[in-house]
Amino acid sequence: MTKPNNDIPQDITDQILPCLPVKSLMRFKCVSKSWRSFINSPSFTRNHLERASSQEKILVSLPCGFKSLDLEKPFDDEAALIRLRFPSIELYDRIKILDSCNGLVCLGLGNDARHLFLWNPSTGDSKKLPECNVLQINSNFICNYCGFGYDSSSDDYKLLLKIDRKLVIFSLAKNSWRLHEALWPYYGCHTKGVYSNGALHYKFLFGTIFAFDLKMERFRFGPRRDASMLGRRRKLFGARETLYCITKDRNSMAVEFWLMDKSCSEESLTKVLSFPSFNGFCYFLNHFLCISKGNEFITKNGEDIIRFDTEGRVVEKIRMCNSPSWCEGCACTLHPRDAITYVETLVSPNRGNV
Amino acid sequence: MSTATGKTKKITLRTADNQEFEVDEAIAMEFGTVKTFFDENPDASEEPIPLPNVSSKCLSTIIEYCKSHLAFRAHDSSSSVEDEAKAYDEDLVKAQDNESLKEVILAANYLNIKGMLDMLNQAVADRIKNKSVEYVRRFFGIENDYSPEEEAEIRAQNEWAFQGVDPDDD
Repeated sequence: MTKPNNDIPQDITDQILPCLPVKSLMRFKCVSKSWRSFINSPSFTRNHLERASSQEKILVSLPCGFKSLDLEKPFDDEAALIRLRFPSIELYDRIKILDSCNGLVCLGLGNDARHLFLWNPSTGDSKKLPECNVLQINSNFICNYCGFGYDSSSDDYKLLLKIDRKLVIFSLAKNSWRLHEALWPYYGCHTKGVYSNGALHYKFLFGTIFAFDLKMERFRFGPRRDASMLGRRRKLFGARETLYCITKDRNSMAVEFWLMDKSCSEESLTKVLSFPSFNGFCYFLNHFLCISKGNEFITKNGEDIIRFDTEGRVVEKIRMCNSPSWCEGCACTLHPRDAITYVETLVSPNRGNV
Repeated sequence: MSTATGKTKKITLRTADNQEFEVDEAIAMEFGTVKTFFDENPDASEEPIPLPNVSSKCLSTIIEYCKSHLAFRAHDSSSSVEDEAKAYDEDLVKAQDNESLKEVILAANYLNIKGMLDMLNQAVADRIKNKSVEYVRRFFGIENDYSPEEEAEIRAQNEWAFQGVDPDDD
């Protein structure tokens, strides 16, 4: 019997490539011209993104640079932490991680974080956004920043700023800022939007949750909540296509995770998880990062990154700037350590880039 | 032919190298192509089904896989059963060299066994992810159509992606 021809047909190769990590894909563009076009194609990026969405990592900003923490390994595993490249980092004395969506991280550089960058930590691609030419930004830019998210209908990434109550939207596809017609619905609402399912979600007084739909560029309001939700400390948390609300039950003091659907209404809440409250719950709430694959919760508390199990017990904890692999002897202790979850994708902030 | 009451129906498969395998109907139905064949021909005779694209070595690996996974699924889903299934898959893949792995993927694709194909796709990805460009070209039988200058340019553009790659030892 002659040796069978084992050349793998294209349709099988097309199913294998999305399973590869970004670094391998960037290297394998060199295999052949057709592999390069395939890997660069928008449909492949989208396909790869869907698979990547379940594997979150933590991006940490330290004085000595950015590092990426792999949540599938124990924190003290040397291989868990890798250094990332970000160009022109030395030009700025302060870096604030603002947001991340689909593998694109939004950074605010400079003293008041007003120099905006979009960066893909996995590919190293970055883009400095043009200055907002539509309105004058306040000196305290962090109060202006309202959120960053993806609109699938136009395959566009949008960034929202609020200046007094005026809304300014940056569109990555158009590479321009635009003043929006509607005003921000409330005075004094300073929360950063939580992205989920094509909208940015905000919580406000008396349990109100409202959303800014990135496709229609309109606000959507949930109905006023009833008294049962009043007074609970709540945190909105977006994970992929779902929106969670983390609260503490006033009577039982249990920590509860509620799943919320698009209507943002009280009726749409479904409790998915509940466990007894624990010491440090406030920190858990304030800096909740993500739910890892093993159903553990990752949060940040000041200098520490902490992994909790579903019973609220601390599984492991690491001080961000304490061990040699984390921080290479830099002296600055005043620098804030930001941490955010992100996923490894091929999404490029530079449209039309190969 | 309708199934005899109380007896598991067996289906016979004939491979490219003329070996015949008799398997339980449940296992044969894991093969999308076989299932489609019977759905469209409910009165098919009991002749062996020819599989001209599958060797006996491959078919026996595939039959073992389907048997094991049917058994795993019969248990209540729990994390320990999941771990067992994962370990089984890893051992199966580890035992295949590159040529055998490719053969099994081609066979699983031909037979349209989705679960096994998904697992194998990921397994190949894991096997090649740290390998060099040359290794990948050999594995997939791809010719390099870049000129030396073009290739040098691409390598330079993404230099970081070429670090930490496994040396080619085959």
